[in-house]
Amino acid sequence: MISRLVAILAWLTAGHALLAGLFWLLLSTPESNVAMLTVSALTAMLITLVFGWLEAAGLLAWHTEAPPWRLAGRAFRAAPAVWLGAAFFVAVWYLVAHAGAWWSNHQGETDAWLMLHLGKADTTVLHKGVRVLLVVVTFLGLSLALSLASAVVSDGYRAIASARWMRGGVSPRQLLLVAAALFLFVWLPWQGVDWHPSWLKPNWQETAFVTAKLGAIYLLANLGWALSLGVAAKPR
Amino acid sequence: MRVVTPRFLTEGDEVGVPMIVHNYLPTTKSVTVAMRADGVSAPRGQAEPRPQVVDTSHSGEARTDWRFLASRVGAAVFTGSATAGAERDAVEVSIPVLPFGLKRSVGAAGSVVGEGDAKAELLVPQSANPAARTIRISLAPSLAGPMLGALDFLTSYPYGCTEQTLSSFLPNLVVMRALDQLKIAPVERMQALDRQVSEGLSRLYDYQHEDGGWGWWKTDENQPFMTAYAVYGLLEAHRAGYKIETWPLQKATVALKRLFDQYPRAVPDLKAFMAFVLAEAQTTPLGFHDTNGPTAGSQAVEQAWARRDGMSAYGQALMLLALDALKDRRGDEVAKTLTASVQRKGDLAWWNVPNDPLLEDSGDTSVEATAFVVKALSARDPKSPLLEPAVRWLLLNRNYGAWWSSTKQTAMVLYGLLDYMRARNEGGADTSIEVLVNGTPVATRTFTPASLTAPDPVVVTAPAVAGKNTVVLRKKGGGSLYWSAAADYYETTGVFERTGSRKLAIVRKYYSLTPVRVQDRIVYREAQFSGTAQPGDLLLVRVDAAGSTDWRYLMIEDPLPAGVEAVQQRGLYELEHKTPFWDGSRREYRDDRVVFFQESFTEGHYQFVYLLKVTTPGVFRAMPAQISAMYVPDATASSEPQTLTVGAAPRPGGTDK
Repeated sequence: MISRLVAILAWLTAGHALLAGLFWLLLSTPESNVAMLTVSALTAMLITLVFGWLEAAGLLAWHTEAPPWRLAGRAFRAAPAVWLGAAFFVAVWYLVAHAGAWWSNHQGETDAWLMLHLGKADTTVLHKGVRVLLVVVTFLGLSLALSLASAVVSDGYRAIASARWMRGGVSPRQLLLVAAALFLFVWLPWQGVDWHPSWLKPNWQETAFVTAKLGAIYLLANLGWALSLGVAAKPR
Repeated sequence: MRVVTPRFLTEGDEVGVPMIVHNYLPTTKSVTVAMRADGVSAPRGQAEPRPQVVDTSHSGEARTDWRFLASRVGAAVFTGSATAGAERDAVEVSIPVLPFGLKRSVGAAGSVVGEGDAKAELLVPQSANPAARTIRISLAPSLAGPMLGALDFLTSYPYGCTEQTLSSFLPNLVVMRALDQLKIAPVERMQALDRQVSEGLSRLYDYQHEDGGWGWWKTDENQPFMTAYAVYGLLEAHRAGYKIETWPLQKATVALKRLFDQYPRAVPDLKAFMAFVLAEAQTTPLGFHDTNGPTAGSQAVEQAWARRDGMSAYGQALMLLALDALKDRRGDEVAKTLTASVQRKGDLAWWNVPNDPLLEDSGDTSVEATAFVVKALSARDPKSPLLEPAVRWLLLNRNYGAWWSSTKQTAMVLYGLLDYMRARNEGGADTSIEVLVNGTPVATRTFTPASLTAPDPVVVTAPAVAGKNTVVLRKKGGGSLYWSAAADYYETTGVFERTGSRKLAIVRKYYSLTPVRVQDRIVYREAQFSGTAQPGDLLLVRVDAAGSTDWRYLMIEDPLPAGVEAVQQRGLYELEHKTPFWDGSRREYRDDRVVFFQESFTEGHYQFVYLLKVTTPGVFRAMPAQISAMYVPDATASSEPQTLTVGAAPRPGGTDK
């Protein structure tokens, strides 16, 4: 288990660095003529392809006993499953974003109704509650997306018709473990992204500290993601 | 002696009025003090106040308290007197007693050109407080007053890029020439005009680049808008009879056409502005050979026309002006499109343009677009029903009541208003207006050419009756009249319930503030307000207003209970829990209310906070806080009223100090 986790972590850490490099290339490409526009489009397609391949290999590694790099060929064929999961998540995220925007736009009218009928002016709790609810729905979408991608990677497209991935996506075990992994290894380390000790001198020490800190945060974020993939790949 | 009263009372309030007698005589005196009060009565179940006798030692003081009920609207006059043998003193204080009820207003507005009558019917409900019903009529003979106010802003603007140079003399030139033709131009301004135009033109020539174009400043690159605006300025000056140097204008028209051709995919509205100026150049006899050719304007308009689908109302208005300059009948189509895209709310009309297409900036240019639509429609159809509401909207959107948000915007609006004024043939004829309210003549006002440029309207007031009130304005003589009539009254039913809707609501809450010591500092702790207080207590008022986000120009009026004073120096009191004091666009403290103005309502919910100091004993009622859209009739909401009971201030052991 530990050795498999280490292998997947190494795979994802290296792969995501590659993805970041490709994204940087996309941002740096000046779309000033048709040739450069074509380069941009190709880079965007490459990013999509690499993303699907990377995550599919991660999921397959959890499903089988082999390390991800030995599953590269199979992962390449399974990449569309990851795109499907990603599309599902983007759809949920888009709907939630729209719901949030609608709520924000009508927040004043909701408050006016409450003020008029209940005489209540402090509506902070209500609006905070709605924001939390939207985050929960987004997270639910993520969990379902992970389950969907994992099910299709493992069982092929016929798995879409089965309700198993949906049950897995909303199961308390998966929700709890994915939430814990993302909270502990992604959200919590991220809080320290701006922090540095006040006594640190603005010389090589600071550079070394920031590099080490950001490296550790990056590693932990990948660990959180690797564990999330693992939870989705092993439903019970 | 002193008689201590609040600044005002509200009908139905019960007030305790302390009278304090100071003894500056060398011996102890037995003093007979009496209080006479007119306009108020003794509280229910209590006898009329009778004189009291108090003893005061040398340098001491004695206090007596007198209680009254504010039983009717008007003035309450308190006369206190003190008699000690042959020594006498007296003091009289007069304060207003305000009507009980929710202040409401219904209104109408319009204009009359030439001789004619205007009529408005204003309905005052039967339940309105009979002691406070008023008709208010505002009369203004011309738009010239507001325009001159805006010119002052432009001519005194302390910086001068190309646009500001143009905006400093061009509106001045066109407005003053127009007023001169209408024979209403102030003489002293006309005398200064030639110098201002001459200086402006010199500066404009100096800023012109070698190739004929203009940039923002002298040494930068050509900018299409600046070049087009500069050419427009030179053409207008030429039309006004000023001698324009031929070579700079010739170079300028060529540069403008070159810029027009150089950027075929420029913003469509900018293309429309350039095409409009080229069309103006084509139709203006310049007295020299235009190397662009005789149809350069038509060609440019043709190209801009092909991109009309991407134009905002700003570009469409410019296209309409260009097409009309060339007498092109396709203008009818553009006019129809503009008429269909107008925004209406109440008596206002405008065209929304959320950015600045001419400068490709993010600033809202709805004001400029509306002004250019007014300019274009005024020339086509001076009686268009959209013009008057649009002009009203433009005048309401002035900053500080005199000018618009920038030199460019102010100049563009003046071009629009000027053409509107011209189209209505606002002249300098003597005008007489007779005002009748409910069939009775209440005033006659005469406007001479000299009064047309006055900045403020004339206001006439008359009493209103419950039911229908008819206001008739009989106008004799030439010229125009812009009028508005409003019935102000106090609604007495429903005062104790919140009113409003999902679109607009308001809640007001009082909190008591208690001083506590925290880390060697005195801070004020907020707590629920019980309804009672003592003189000297501090209160915090939170007024929450919420509703849809598209409201603009909201006014939040929060009437105070008598017996308190609004604290203007808020920094004197540190609150334990820091509270942001949101004042909206503006906050005003009045004797009887605190008023906030909120220009936009994009957040949908705003909380206005202020402090009160309790000063006078009594039982007082604060009328409901109200929020109203200043320019949308009937858009109001109100809170519940608030009763404040203030006990008498504790006395330090007897009457003597």
